[in-house]
Amino acid sequence: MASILIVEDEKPINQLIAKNLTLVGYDCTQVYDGRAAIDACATEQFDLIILDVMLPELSGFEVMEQVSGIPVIFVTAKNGLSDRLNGLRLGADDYIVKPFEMLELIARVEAVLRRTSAGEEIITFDDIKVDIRSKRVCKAGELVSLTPKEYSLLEALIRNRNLALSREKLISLAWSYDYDGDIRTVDVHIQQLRNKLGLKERIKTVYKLGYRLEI
Amino acid sequence: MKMKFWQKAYILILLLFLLCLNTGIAALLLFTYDRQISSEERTAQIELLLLAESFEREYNALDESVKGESALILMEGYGDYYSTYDSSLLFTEGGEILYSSFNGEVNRPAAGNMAIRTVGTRHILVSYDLCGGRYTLTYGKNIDSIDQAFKSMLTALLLTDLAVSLILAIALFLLLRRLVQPLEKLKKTTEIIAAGNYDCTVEQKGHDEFAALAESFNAMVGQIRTQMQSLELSAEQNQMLVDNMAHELRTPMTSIRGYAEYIMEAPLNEQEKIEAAETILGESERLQRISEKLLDSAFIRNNEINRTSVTAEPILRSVCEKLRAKAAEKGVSIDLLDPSANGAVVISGDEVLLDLLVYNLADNAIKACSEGGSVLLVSQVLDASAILMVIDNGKGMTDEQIKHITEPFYRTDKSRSRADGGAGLGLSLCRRIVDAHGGQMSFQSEVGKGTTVTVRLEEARIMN
Repeated sequence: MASILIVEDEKPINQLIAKNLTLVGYDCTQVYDGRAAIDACATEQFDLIILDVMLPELSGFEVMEQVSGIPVIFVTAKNGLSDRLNGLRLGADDYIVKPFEMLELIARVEAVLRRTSAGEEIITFDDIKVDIRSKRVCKAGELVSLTPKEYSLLEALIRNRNLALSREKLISLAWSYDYDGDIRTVDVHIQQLRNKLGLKERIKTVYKLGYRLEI
Repeated sequence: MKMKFWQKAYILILLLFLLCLNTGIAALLLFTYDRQISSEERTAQIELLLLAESFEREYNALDESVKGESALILMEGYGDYYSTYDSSLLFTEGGEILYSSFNGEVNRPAAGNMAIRTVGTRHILVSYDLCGGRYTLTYGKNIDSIDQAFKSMLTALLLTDLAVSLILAIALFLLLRRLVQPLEKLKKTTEIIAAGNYDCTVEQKGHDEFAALAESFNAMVGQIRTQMQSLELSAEQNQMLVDNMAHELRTPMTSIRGYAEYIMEAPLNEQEKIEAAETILGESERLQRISEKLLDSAFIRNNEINRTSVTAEPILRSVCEKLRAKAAEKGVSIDLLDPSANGAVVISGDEVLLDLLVYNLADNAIKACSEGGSVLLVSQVLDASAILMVIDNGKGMTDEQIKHITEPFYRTDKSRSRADGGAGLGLSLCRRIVDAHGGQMSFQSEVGKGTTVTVRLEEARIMN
């Protein structure tokens, strides 16, 4: 389980990021200013820092300069090009501008962790084992045969576990954005997943919205 | 052909100078030559006259019978004598040459006339009738030596002229180059400035026109530089304003959006849902406050104020009441300083805006205070102005902070965290209100000791 340091002085936003990332299975540490971020990095090993640019004590850029070797995603209210370039030039791995969608942040966190190979390789719950790298799913030790579409859908659900995802969102997450099939195709594939993996209880239908994998 | 100014000047000056010099030399030469020739001519005439007189005297003394022969012998004597003086004689009788010491044929001028003719070399020839017209004597003065002297002088002068012209050409070249050097420098500097470097100045030397030009030029560049700097500064301030505004608007929007998503997507219990909804409400209120203040600001800027005579004390009192609860929450006291000592202060202003002004100043003062602090509201009359003061003993500000304190969205806390509340619009609104009243607002502050805000407004004249 990857551990993430959240550095953001706005308490509600800090809380929100922590809550969401915890839900999808990350270990979160929250700090509210630049100095505390550096202290936290000195005592603990993090796989990723989510760093606000405007911070009390030390700015995000200054923190970035002092904390080397850890992937960083900048969060900022400024979307000026110079700020963006400044962040990326300092070696930030990604840059997200407020206001942002939580699922977007989760996707970027995942992408950065996958790049730096600190992401999850194998996810297990109940008697199910999902190997992300080889895209193989086992249930009770037996290999379950899933179509590529079913597998992608399962991976999207796992990556955003405990969050309700609309059918449109699931399509764009699992089958790329330009999929223009019927939205109800999702229901069919969800049904398949539930049947093949025995996930009737785990994959909940959320009224008027979509589905949620609860782990 | 493109010529530079100094090149044109060089060629023109050189030509003009050479023309003058050479004309002068030529005139001088000719004048000298003429003078010499005419002096020789006069000498020739005198010589001839003397000779004629002497000849006639001797001729008349001769015996009548040998006159013809003797005249010739006499003339030969004269001829020999004069030949040593570089002069020749021609003695004729009725057109027939009796004697000639010229070495060549002579085309003599008529008697009594003078001419310059070439007989071998150039001669001044003067003719004279002797002995009642029987003989004609022509005196020839060789002026070859004068011609030779003239020629050698001409050569010497031409050589000198050439040398002088050469020296002049070089000296003028160097001099002009040097004289226009400030122009060249100015041109180079202009190019540098045109390329956008406004820190460049031209070197000023001496007190001539170029120095004056350099001075005006530097003044101009300075002016441009100042203008550019103020433009850059205002662009920077605008950028900061936009950045800050973006931050102030986007931060609550992020929370609102995020928590709404959270409620929708995450499996929450009742308690968690309420907490999330509370955050959304709180952040919405924050957005509302910001938009209200921005609108107030815009309104004050775009509208005339509604001036009446406003008594200060009730305003201070009402602000005190409105803020007392908030102050008490922080453990801060807020009070009016007893105004009776100075009598009633009556301001010429807009009551609603003045209330807003005092409210914002007092609100800021409370924010600056920590527990146990106190805020005092004062009104008084000073030098025929109405003075409102808000005094706190809070954390105070540095001079740098005071400079920016009334800029919209400026907060003394760089991170813009909301520990103290507002968006940094309060004081910019106050500035607007004071400006609209034509008043002045000043800050006296010491870090750790507290801040005093003084607002000076027009006092209403009370008609008795």
